[in-house]
Formats: sequence, C-alpha cells, structure tokens
Amino acid sequence: MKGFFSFKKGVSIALAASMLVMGACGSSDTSSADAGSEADTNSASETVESTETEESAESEVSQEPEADTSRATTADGGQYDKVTVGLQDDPSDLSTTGFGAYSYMIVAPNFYETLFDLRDNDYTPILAKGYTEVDDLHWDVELYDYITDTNGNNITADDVVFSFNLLIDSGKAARYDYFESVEAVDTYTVRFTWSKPIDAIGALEWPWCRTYIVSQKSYEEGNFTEAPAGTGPYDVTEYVVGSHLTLTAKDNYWQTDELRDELHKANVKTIEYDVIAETSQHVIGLGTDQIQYSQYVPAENIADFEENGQYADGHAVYITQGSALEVLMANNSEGKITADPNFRKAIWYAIDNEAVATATGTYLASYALGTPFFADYYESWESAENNYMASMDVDKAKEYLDQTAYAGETLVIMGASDEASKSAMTMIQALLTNVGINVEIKAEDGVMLEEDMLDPTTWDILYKDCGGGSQVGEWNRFTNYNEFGTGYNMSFIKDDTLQSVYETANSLDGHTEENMTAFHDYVLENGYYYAVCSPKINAVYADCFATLAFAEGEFFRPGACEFYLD
Amino acid sequence: MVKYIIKRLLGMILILLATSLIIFTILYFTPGDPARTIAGATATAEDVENMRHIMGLDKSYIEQLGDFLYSTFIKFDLGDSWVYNKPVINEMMIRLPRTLFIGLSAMALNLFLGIVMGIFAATHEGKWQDSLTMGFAMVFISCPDFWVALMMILLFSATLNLLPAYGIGGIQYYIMPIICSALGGIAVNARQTRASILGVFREDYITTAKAKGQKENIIVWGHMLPNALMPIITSIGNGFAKIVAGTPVIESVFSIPGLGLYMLTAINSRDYPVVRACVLFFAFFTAISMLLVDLAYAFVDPRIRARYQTVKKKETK
Repeated sequence: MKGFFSFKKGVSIALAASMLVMGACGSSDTSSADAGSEADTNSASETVESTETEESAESEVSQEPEADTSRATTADGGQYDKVTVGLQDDPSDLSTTGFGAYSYMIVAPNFYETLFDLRDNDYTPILAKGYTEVDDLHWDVELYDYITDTNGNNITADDVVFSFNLLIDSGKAARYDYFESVEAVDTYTVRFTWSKPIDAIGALEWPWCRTYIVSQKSYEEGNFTEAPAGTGPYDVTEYVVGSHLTLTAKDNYWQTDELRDELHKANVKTIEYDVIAETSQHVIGLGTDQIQYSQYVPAENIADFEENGQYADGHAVYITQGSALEVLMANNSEGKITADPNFRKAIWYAIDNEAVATATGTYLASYALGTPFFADYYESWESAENNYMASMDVDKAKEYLDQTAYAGETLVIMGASDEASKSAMTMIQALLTNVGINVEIKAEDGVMLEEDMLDPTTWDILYKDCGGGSQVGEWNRFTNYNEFGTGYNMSFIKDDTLQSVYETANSLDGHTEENMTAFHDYVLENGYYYAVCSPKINAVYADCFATLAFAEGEFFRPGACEFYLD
Repeated sequence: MVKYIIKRLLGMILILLATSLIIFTILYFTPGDPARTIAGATATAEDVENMRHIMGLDKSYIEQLGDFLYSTFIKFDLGDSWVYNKPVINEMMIRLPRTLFIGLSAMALNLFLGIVMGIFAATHEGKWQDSLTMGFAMVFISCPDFWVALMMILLFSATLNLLPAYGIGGIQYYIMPIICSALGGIAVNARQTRASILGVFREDYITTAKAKGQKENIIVWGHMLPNALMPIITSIGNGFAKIVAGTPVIESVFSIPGLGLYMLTAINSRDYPVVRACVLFFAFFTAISMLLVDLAYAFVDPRIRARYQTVKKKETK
C-alpha cells in the first residue's frame, strides 16, 4: 500500500511538473506578447515623424538577393535539376477557369500563358506580337504564328476566341467591364470589341493579362482539370490532388531564345509544388530540405533562417513588401458619427501605424494611401501636409475630437477574423481608447465580411484589405461608386468630387503624378481613408538559389530564378 | 436476422433523408454568400449576380432543396464542387482510401494495444503495473492529438530525420499520423477493457474456472474477455464512426489530402456541395458502423442471438 501511495505521489509530481512546463511555455508566449503590447503602447504615445518611419520601413525590407559572380549559375547556361516549393493550399482545379485558390495564381503561369503580361501598368506582349487600335471600340491583336502547346497544336485566333468564351461561360470572367466580344479576323489576328472606349488604367488587365489561352483541340481531347496542356514553359507531369504538383521544363518551348521573356524561362528542369497546410510544417520542410522555398514561414520562425538561427546554414531570407493594403474606412452613411470629418481625423491621428504593423508581426507600416510596391505610388505623398498616416499625434486627435458631438458611444470596428487582422484591430482599439474613443471589435470570416461590409448598419470603422494591379487600381476597390452597384463606394461616401478626382487619376491621359497627388490630397483633406499597413512577403530559400524572380512583384516564379550549378 | 438487417437498411434511408434535409437547411441559412466567394474578391456586383444564377442560388429554398434531393437520391449525383468545378464523388473517392487507411490502421492499433493494456491492468489490479498502465492511458487521453503530432514531427522529422514530416507516399508517411490518431483510442479502450474485465472478475464462472485449475491465460482470453466484450464493442462502434469524421486535424497537420481535410477546406470556402456530400457520407458510414456493432453484439452474446431466433420462431408459428 505504501508503495502504491509513493507511486501515486510520483505520478502526481510528474503530472504537476509537466503542467508547470506547459504553463511555462504558455506564459512565455504571453509575456512576450505582453511585452510587445507594452512596447507598442509606449510607441503609440509618441509622435512619429515621417523621416524616422521611412528609415524604419527600409530596415525591415531586405535587399534583393544577388548572385555570387564567382560561382557558376544557370545564367551562364544549363539548367538546375529540381526545386521543391511549399504551397499552403491546393490549386485543385488546374483548368483555365480554376481561379478558386491563391496557389492557382502561383502555379498556373508555369503552364499557361496570356496574350500580355501586366508590368508597371503596361501590357507586355507574350503570345501577342502587339496590338493596333482600329478605332475607339475595336482593337486588333496579332499573335505569333509559331505558338504551340504541350501537344504540339498551333495556337490560332480561333483558339483565342475559344479561350475567352470558355472563361465567360464559366461565370468567372471578372473585370470584363470593357469587354464586348472577340472574333477572329484572320488565322493569327483577333479583334476585340469594347463596350466603351478604353479610358482607364488597367482596364484590360483581366481580359488580356488574366485570361489563359489554350488550344481548343487540346482542351476538348484532354482533362485540363488535372493534366492541362498549355503554352507555358512547363508541362504538368504529375498532379496528386491535395498533395503535390510536378512540372517539367519543355524541351521545345515555342518562343525563340532571343524573344523569350525573362519570366517565362525554365532555369530549373523540374519544379515540385508541395501542398503543406500547416505553416509550422514549412519550417520543418525547409529545415529537413524537403522543400527549398517557402513564403509561408510564420513570422516568429523567420529568425531561425537568419544569421545564427537554427537553420541559418544553407538558407537565407528575403523580405519584401506585397501589393495589398490594409485600409481603415469610416462609415459615411447618414446619421453616423463617423460621417463627421473632424471625428474621422480624430480617429486617424490617434493611430500609430508602426504599432499596428508590429502587433500583426507580418506587416509593414504605411505612410500614405498606397504601397511603394506600385510604380504609380509617389513617395512625396508621405511628407504631405496634414498626412495623418505618416504621423501619429494624440494632441491633434483630441483637438479634433473636441470639435465633434461624440459622447462616448461605442463604435464597431469590423474586420477579418484571421490572426493578423485581429491583432491589428486590438491595437487600434487600444490606441483609440487612449484618446477617449470606445471601440468594440467585430471579427468575421472572409465570406461574412464581404457581405456585411455592404450593410451600413453593421459597422462604424472597417478594417479591410484591398488589392489591385496598380495603385490607382487598388484605390478603385474602395473609392469607385460603380464598384458594388449600390450607388455608394465601400465606405458609403457620396462625394462627386472624390469620384471625379479618382476618375481623372484613373484615366489613360490623366494618370499623372499631379492627378494622383490631387486625389491623395483630397482624401487627406476630408479624412476619408486611412492606410494602415501592407503585408510583407517573407521568402525563405535554400542556398541553391542565386536570384529570386517574382511576377507582379509577388508571385514566385521558380523557372525564372537563377540557380548555382556548382 | 436477415429481416432485421433489411429493416435496419431501410431505416438507414430515412436517416440519410433526414440528414440531407437538416444539412441542406443549415447550410441554406448559414450567413455568407457562396457566389461572392466563388466570383472572387475583385468581382463586381454584376459578376456576383451572374455567378449566383449559374450556381442556382437565385432559386427559392424549396426549388433548391428539390434539386438537391432529386440529384442525390434519384440520380445518385452528389454534384460538382463550386470552387473546383469537379464532381464531388470523384474527389471523395480519391481521398477516401487515405482517410480509411489511417482510420482503420489507427483502429487496429488502438484495439490491440487498448485491449492488451486493459487486460494487463485488470489482471494486476491495485498493483504498480495497473497504475503505470492507467497512468499512460491518462496521459494519452490528456494530450491533444495535434500537440502529440507536432511533438512527434519535432522529434522524428526535425531532430532525428527518420520520418517525413508531411505529405503522402510510402508507408513511412503514415506512421506518425496513425500513431497520433490511435493514442486517444488506445487510452479509451484500455480503460474500458479494464473496467469490463474487472466487472466479470468476480463472477461465479470465473471462480469455478480458477477452482478447476484452469490456466490463467485461458481464463482471461477464453472466459473473461468474451463476457467483457459488450462495452468494448460499443466503444469500438463509436471509434468506427470517428474513423472518417475525426481525421481533419491529423490530416491538416500532416498535409494528407484525405476526406477530413477536404471537408474542412470546403466549409471555409462555403463549397456547400462538398460539405453536404461529406456529411451524408459520414452519416452513411456511421449508420453502417452502428449496424455492424449491433450484429457484433449478436455474434458475441448468445442471449441476443437467441432473442432474434425467438422472434423468428414466433413468426413461424
């Protein structure tokens, strides 16, 4: 009996010890989070000057990797054997209409191509030789006459028409606002008919740069969902749904070496994409060399791959800024306290972007309404007078607040329910409490958020990510009246001047620094929007990579990277 | 017995119909517009409306329910995934073997180890072996499977580099997922077996067997276990139901494209045809498992078997 009791005692002690260990693990996290919060709150109480913030932003983004010139790379000729890239979700449907998953945007350009690629608001010819404006509503696009797909089928104008109709019939032809029809003029020329003159920047982004062109014959004879046959530099050789996708470089890519686009190269013979749902598994995958590239490593593990980190040997990290932007919007519908410009400015001046970005762990603070990622973003906006995004000022916030009818009511800040958004909203809540504005958080999943944000009764402040192919395109989503078919924009603003300055900045002739700045100034003047931060791309890569290549600055293209061959 | 099985199978159709109705209704009233999700974040109001029409979401509740029931129970067509444009049944059939392999292997492991540990503990009741075995069982029950999975990955993949951390391929890819899935079941079965064995431990027929000098092994395996099996079978029945429905966490951690992960992804993306099909399949599998459990009762317990035969004889008279 004595033995039994002493055993019980031993087990109790062991259990207690294990609970303490687990508790310690948990408390260590909590204390670090608390420390972070404390630091953030401290920083929140200071006025941050724009010059300081610029330096800080630069230090968080790393230099683009450059090849060691003393070593042989694929740039000198030859192909690297194989590279494995980690994805977080499965593309699942590889057909030309499979826009279901984010990973589709990453993998599909390896085996499909479009008429043009979008680069710096311009259309770079890929399958097209170029285009001719017949008149305002009719444009001709001429194709190369030697384009072939995986099966050796020649791509003609009829295939282009077929590919467009395929997408339109699927209901996934988003952003075809200007598109009326397309027809074959001759074997290698198609004529586009527009519903109105092309008068906006990026108007043809989706028809020309997101619509994949395939051979009708290949499509009708094959199974594009799992074994697509495109014109891209790679063939799909194996696809296990939900697990991995293997691509092999084409030996007979259709374009000549002289005319071949840099991003359509195949410097590695085999690319394998592994679907790894858990981000922590990306760390293990890189550490054990199962994968050589991932941009899904959790922020807290990035240090493991940097100098003196656990996996630093054989790995490097490239941190860059993504195109998306987290924007705060005030509900301008009638009767809302947030429709008062003074109240909006009180909110905006109370927020410290750096504190919010730090709270998320994976974002960079914004200092103007946009991201430096885009060519039509101008750094001069950051130093604009009364730019509440570049400098937090508690006194000014209180001054503005005193000029309002705010009586302590609780506002609802609504945003996505992912961890980063919740952390950001929690920090914003703390910062607003600091100036006497009460806020409660409403976090919703993506589907609910897209629906509820159109209902003016559900929120006062909206924390929402926005994206686009250019800066003016990114603004379109939340400023343009025509976006939701409701007669209002995303923040229920009814201001014809705002719409007018936006349309001018978005027009082909008016897309100048002056007009873009005029829009930005008008937003500042009225306190309409507040850019908080934009996501970082934390690319962790093995030392086989000499350089990294991204399409549109964020979609990783392994085939276009350079590799060390020694 | 045959009549009983037919009766149960007919009852199963009613269960599936009721499940269909419930799951359809719940999903119909779940907030969030799938058309908006499928059309994409850049879609305009017109694009979303167009997509709603293509998906048939602009029809009334009754029309949509009728379409669903007709295609499921008359045409035996579970529909296409809204997100991936593929027949749901094809995708399920690709994923099912992986889920079943993990589930059945885990079940075999937890049955074997659970029963052995339970008997071992019961036959050493009150001794240190009993406490040690039940201590292990307690630890297995207490540790969440995802935590055990991460610890195993850290040890066997990151540190020792013995097993792959994720993915599918050879048997080595399934070792950790199977062990993680089995741990909780081992503990439950061990505790259940111990309790059941102790329940029959002091029965007269055991005392008689001991008095006759029967070997302990024969007493335990030949007399105690068959009489203690009923609660164990119930526990196994519950375990069977969890085989297909209870694996999303393990599949997610180990990136195994099985049925659980498929449904989890579908729920997040509001891919209702996939969710409905998976729930229906889980209901079907659970109903079949319960039927098998009932038949197993009859197999191991002559009293239940006799009851079926009595009913049959009465009907003959």
